[in-house]
Amino acid sequence: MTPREIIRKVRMSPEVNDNNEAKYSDYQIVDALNSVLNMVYNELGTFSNELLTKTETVNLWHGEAELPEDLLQIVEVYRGDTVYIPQTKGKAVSPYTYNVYGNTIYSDADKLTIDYRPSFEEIGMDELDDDLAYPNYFKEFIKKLVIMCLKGALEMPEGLAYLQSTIRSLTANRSFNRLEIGGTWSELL
Amino acid sequence: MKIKTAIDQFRLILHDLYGNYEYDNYHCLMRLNSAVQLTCNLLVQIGSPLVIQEEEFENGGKLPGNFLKTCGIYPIRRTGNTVEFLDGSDKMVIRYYVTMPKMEKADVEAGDMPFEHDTINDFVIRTACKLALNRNEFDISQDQNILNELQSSAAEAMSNG
Repeated sequence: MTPREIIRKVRMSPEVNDNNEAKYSDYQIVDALNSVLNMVYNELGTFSNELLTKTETVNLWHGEAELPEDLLQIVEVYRGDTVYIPQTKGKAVSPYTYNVYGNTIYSDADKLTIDYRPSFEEIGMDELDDDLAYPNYFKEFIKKLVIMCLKGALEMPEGLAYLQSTIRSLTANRSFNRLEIGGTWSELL
Repeated sequence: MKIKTAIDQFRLILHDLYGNYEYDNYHCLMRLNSAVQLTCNLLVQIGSPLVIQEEEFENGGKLPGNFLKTCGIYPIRRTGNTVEFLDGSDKMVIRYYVTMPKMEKADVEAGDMPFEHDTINDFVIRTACKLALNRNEFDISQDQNILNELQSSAAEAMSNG
């Protein structure tokens, strides 16, 4: 799903009906698309899901490393099979923990793999053919939101309610939560 | 449609037929040109692609003389006839509405009317007639009614294109 495909679908829709590009410029539709993706993005951040989660490995030098530039929220930090836990007090870290100050991560590991939610980045006019980080079944949803945005309906309470409820229904049960099943009761006892 | 044919029709509607014309070619052209501008404005209102052009502009460049407005919103700032881009780019392809160029006296014999579609040309001629009759202080209320009908039916027929 590329921005150009969405622009085409938006222009083709009966509500917009603008294949001649007489009413809306591409700039206008991309601007609306950016607003929509930003809102979808923020909404996805309000509940637990891994739709946009990225992974990056950083090498630590003297116990510290720069975090990825687009990091919004850390989901998990690990090295190999060992999950590191966040340490909330002080810069000095104990073994198997990490700490974040500003845009730097501190830990005693030599390298760490970070699962994180990236921040939203606007689509430029030269990126219309780049794939979006959303699954294809979001296409119709995003198209509808862009149309609502162009018509000024997205700011209405109904528009926001539609956005919130649809995101939840689209992403519900998409993946199970991250808790590992710890064995049966008899094993535990 | 040739300009000459349009002038003939103009005179026919106004019963200006017998050689010793009340409306000479210059007069006819003046009315037809005004009518073309009015028609362009109506076509812009319904978003007709007939009055849309596309061109690549440079930052700080001049807009063409017949530029009316952009199709939709572009990140540009217009000052008089110059255009600056607000997104930092050097060049931008802009789609914009235009009015048709004026017909000159030299084009009367061989030149074409600005529109290819005869419905629109017919509308132009009738508008020109209305303007001419108004100038002569005739009662044009009936002509206005006919024009309104023509205008709304043409607009309806074309507005979805």
